[in-house]
Amino acid sequence: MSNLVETKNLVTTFPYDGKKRIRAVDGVSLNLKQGEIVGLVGESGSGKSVTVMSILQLILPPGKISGEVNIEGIKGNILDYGMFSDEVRSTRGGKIGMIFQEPMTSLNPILTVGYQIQENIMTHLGLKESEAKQKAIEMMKRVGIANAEQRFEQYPMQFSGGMRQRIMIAMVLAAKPDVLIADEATTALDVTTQAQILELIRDLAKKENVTVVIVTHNLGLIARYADRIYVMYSGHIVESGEKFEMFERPAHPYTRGLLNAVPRLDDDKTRRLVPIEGLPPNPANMPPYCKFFDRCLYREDRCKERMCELEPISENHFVRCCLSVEELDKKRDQIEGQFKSAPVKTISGEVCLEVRDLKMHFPVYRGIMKKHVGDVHAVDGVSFKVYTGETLGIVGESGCGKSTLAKCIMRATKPTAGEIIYKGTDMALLKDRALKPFRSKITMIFQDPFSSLDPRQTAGSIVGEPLKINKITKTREEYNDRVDELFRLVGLDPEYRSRLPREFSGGQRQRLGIARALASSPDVIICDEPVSALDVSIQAQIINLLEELQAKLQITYLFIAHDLSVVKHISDRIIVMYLGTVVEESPAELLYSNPQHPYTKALLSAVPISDPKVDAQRERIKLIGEIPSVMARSAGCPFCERCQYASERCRTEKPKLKDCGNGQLVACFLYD
Amino acid sequence: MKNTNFRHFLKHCVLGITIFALVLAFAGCGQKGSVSTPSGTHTDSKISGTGSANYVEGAERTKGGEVVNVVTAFNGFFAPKSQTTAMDVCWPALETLGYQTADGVWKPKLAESWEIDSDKFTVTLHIRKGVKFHNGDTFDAKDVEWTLSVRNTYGTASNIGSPVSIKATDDYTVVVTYKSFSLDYLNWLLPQFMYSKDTFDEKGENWVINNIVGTGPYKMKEYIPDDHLTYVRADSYWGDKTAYVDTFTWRVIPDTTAQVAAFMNGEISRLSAPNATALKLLESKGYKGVEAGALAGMQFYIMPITLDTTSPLSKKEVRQAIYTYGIDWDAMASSLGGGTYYHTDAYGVTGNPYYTKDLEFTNGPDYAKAKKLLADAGYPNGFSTKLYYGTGGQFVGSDAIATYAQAELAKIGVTVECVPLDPTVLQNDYMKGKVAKSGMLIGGTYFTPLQTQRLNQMHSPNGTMSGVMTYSDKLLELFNKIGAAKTQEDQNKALRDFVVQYVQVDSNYWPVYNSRTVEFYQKWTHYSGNARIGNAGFDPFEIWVDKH
Amino acid sequence: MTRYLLNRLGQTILIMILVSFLTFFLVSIMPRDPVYALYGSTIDQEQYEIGYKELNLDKPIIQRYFIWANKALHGDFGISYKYSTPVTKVISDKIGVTLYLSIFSMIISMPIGILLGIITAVKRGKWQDTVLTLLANITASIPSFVIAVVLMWVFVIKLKLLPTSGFTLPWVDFGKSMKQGVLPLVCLSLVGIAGTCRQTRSSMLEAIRQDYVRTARSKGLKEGFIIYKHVMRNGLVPIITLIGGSLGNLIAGSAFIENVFGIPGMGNLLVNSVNNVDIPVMQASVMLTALVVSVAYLVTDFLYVAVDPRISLR
Repeated sequence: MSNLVETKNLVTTFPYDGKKRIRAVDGVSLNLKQGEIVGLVGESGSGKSVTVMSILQLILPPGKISGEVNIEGIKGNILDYGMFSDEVRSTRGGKIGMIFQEPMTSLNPILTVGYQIQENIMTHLGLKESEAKQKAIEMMKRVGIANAEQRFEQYPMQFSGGMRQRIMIAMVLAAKPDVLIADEATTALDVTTQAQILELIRDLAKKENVTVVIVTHNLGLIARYADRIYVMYSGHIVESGEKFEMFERPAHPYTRGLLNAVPRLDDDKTRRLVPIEGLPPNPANMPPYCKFFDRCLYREDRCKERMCELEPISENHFVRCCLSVEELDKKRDQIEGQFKSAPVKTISGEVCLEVRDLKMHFPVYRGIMKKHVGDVHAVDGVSFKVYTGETLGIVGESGCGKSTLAKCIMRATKPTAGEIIYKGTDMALLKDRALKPFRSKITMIFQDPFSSLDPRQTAGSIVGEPLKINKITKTREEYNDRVDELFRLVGLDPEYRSRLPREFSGGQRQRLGIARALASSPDVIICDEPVSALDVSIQAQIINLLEELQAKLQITYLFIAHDLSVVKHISDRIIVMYLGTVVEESPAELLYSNPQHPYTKALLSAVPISDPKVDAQRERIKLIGEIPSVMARSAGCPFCERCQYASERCRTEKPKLKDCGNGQLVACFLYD
Repeated sequence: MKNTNFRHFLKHCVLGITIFALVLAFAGCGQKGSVSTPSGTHTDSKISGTGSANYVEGAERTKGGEVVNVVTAFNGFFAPKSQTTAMDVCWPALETLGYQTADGVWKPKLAESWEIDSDKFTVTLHIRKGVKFHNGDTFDAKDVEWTLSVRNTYGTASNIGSPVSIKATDDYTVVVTYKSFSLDYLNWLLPQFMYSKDTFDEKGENWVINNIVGTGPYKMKEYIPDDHLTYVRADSYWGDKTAYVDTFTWRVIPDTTAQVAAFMNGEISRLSAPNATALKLLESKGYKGVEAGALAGMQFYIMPITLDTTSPLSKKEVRQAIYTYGIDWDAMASSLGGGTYYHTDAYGVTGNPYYTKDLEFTNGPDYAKAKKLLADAGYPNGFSTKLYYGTGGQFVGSDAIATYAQAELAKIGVTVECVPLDPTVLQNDYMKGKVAKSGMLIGGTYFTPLQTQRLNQMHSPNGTMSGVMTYSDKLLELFNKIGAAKTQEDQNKALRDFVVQYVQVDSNYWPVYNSRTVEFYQKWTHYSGNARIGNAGFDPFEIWVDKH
Repeated sequence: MTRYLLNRLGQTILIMILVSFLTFFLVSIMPRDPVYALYGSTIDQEQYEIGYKELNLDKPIIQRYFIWANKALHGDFGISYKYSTPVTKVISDKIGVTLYLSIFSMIISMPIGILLGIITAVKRGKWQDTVLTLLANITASIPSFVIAVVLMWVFVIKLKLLPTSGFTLPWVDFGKSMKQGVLPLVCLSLVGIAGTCRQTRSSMLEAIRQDYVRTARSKGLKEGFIIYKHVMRNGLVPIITLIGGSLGNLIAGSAFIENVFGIPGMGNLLVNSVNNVDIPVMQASVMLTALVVSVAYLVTDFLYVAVDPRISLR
């Protein structure tokens, strides 16, 4: 079968610092055939987004694209036609369509949704306005938007994130392209919504026989949906091949490293993540030899001699490495034998922190008179216990209240009702002055390493601030010693004390955040999505660090995240939240092997496992609709509208957490 | 990145400089050849009465045409409450009781004849018969009586000498009675413009202020406030002569540059140079100016406040030292006004009958001598004092005087602090001596031909400025002599002696500069005799316009 | 949405009341004595007393305010001290002139400014952008009366093409009106164009950077069409603020130009009334300006609702 799209040695450069140019895409040759789903995997800086943008010539000057791109139906190298030429413009949207990452900003806010779809149809299919409108409404129905005729006239701000992404899909597919590129299209969405969207894309693509390119950093998505995979690192394709082949026999050290570093939903407790050490490559300083050399565990001196090409190691499986597969396999046992096992930690039987029936309601005011029209029940009666030395994972999607819960426990806000009992004292409603001693005992690590550090303070003073505030150290010497100790604890050189946050990478900044949280020797650390903003290869470093610290210092963690694999890996027990209530509480392994609550089941089935064979055999439980607005609460179980098992009782009565054995608690009438 | 930024910056610089240079070049081409400033030639300040630049002997006087004048703003016409009798703009339409020739003789106009009774202090005016206002009303004695009397209602009776009574004894006779003898009866009464009582009664004051109804050879055609005022020849004029020019127009152009531009463009026929720059510019373009307003003009002066007998300025020696030797008056005049200001040591304007050359006694500054005199008087290290001046109104320009004087006085060790004041505050508080007891203040007075009137009003022992000083016995004696004079000659002499005492001996009054009005006319606008277009010598029958 | 508009209307009325308060009180604490301002500064004491009573100065200030406000609501703003005609007549004579000039210049400058702004934004970094932006910056930095005098120098004195001053309405004498009006209009418009161009440029650049423009490009639309359909409307929303702001300048903004070119308009009146201490005219002019500005902002808010659906849906 001929190639729909083929690139040969595609190079895209951007200028920086005067005459120099960085090569974001450094000689990429890939091809797309009709009807297949291709995955393009890589981390930040790998050049995957720039590659697909270059194919569509969406790179604005001063960026330059060179090389060859051949598209079926266009004579010659499409790069020769200019960016604004008719041929290229008819390709964009007409032959190749693209969906972007941010559904919130990718649609024009002042034009109606329907018009934006219509525009695409009129441009590429050449239909009249009324016909185009009909087609647009049809498309909207196909992507699952109810009341398509009315919603045609609405504006983007009246749709939720998942809906907007559906509209983007409708918009792109309406023009009947041959290729659909999804550039991190689901990264900003919830897990369940993510699954819905991807499934929609796959179904539509199969029906229309459209090729799909999924650009992502999430290996699980690739494992579930892609047929063929390209792995990119620092502007190069380092490995490419069929899905099953790639996952079973990963060849390139980077691919191997990725698979070792990423937690899986079906891991067992003893799995230790193996991070890829070092930092992501700096595009300004590219060596003339293998770009992965500095971080490669398999490196040898001869790798420095030249830059390797993509060589086939079997049919359709290509690798760019100086070592042969046999050599790599031999080395693997050697290297993996050196992996340390997970640190051992002890969980005591005493309760460190207990939360009883915690409620947090935010009042809603409307109008000039600021009338109180209702409340947002962000946290609606949550109770759980945390034992000293353990990690309690809290999972849920947007709107479930986990961040608000964290703030309440931290006493960053005062809860509306309920009790937070820390070592015997109820902190929930204490006044600020009485809270002072507790502040040093419960600390927090934040999600965004870029904005959670004061850009004007030095790293040393950021880390040392809790020492000063809580008056922990008495003398200057003590202070300096402690700060140095903290730096070493988190794996940073104390030399870096005088640097500013902007001189650190993302992972290093998160380490600073951890050091700061540790400074006052807390008993409980609340980790609010600490690794979501980091690259996959760095995530493992931070997760390992957290585990080490817990084993060493006997800290209790509350680990909040939406990435279920990570939560399952690090937690001992997990609670699942939905719309402000706890629906299930369970030990970590049991949660995966034996989920009870319907929501938990659906949630778990939505998360793909980065092992295609295993993933293919899992049951897929689909959820109806989307997460409802936080203001509109039904009287009964919060999940009843989307649950396939919902009964009358579910709609009128709220279920309570009940014990079903093995340490599992469920709030569902199914188990009554 | 840095390189491209720098190149961008350079590009901008080059473009900017080029454009700037172009603008300069363009602007510069108009300034060819500057005129050297005439140095203080106050000895030449005696203005010749005639000598018009545009009078050509035997030139054909053509009928028709338009004369366009310009003002910065109109100030209301018959506005008794603001004391404006009428300005330059009204005399095509309004007429006076009589007019004065160059040698000072009064000739009849609306008043046919008059008699003065020196013992009874009365003036009997005989009104011309057969005169009609533009709207058809008859002009007779009741109009005269009313026009003169109405000044009492608005507190401006002093302008006509504060008569005791004004009565119309019959339709064409008016008797005005004063309370004492004065040589100025005619000077007070005859230059008054006559208004129609009937119109006032009928239409009300607000209408009359905006519509001129007079007896003159021109009647008001159109008045658009802040825009223009047009007169057209009145064929119903009572006299037998007809005026040549068809229309007189006054246009309002508030900006002085625009005025000059309009003149050079040929849009206006006559321009009174608004400031020294305009004067230089017009002269450099080849226009010849004519001095106007010889008998009337503006004088700025400084008066020391001598109420506090312990202050240095209350000592005569100090005042004399400062005035005679301490300040370079000529330089100040030419620096502040170019050719349009000149310094004189005389009180008032220099066209006056009593004026003689020997009234000028200063001869340039001598700072060393001034310092020595101050030391002799007891102030070897100088002293500090305050200089008060008004901001705005008739005092515009005082700030420049204050700054200059401050700099000059610093040279002889006198530290001056300049204090700006609101004009009404200056007039009502400081000039009346209510606030400051020592220091100096800057005044400006517009002197009419009636020298004695201004003197009485401002500088008599009961006048406005008397508030700041105490009259010496000698000064008082000389002042009384003025009032006692029975003939014009005696009065002139008495005035001269008073001025010498006032300025030179007692040094209570320091003239700074007088302003000159220089007028420019277009080639096609002519006048003859005394008939300058812009003053009370206006004779509408002696002005004509060439066809052009 | 009607609630929003009614809300704004109520605010406008409140503002007018507040402004009338402030105007009255501020004028009453000016250093010039109103009696002297009306009757001249050398009247005697008796006359002063009469004048004092006539102007109600013996009553307390609050009462004076209500007397004035009451009359004002009935349309009587008193008699001008300088012109001795009712203030309403004085203003109505002049306001037509100023509005004619201001509105005409706005009609000229707004579209040109927006067009230039779009050009400079689209051609960012190229020579068109550099030249136009430089010109706009220069024009915006030079005061309007300097431009006026320079233009007058060039066209009136040097080239003798146009008359110096004066003003005629076009339906009175079209040719003369055009000749007299060219220079003032050009001066007024230049400043407007410069400001609008710069503002449009920055908001257009902001809009071009947005993600939805990338989406539009990825749909294969023509660049010009993208600018027109997608970018302009988003970029022009801030321009509405600009237009609203300059509507407020309609009345008084032309004071310089009117002075230089001898046009009997409101700007000149406002300034002269302060110099001449013509208190009734001052008060009325300020109130009028406040009214125009408030209405301008009100209209701007209405326009927002029409252009940006997000505001009304909120």
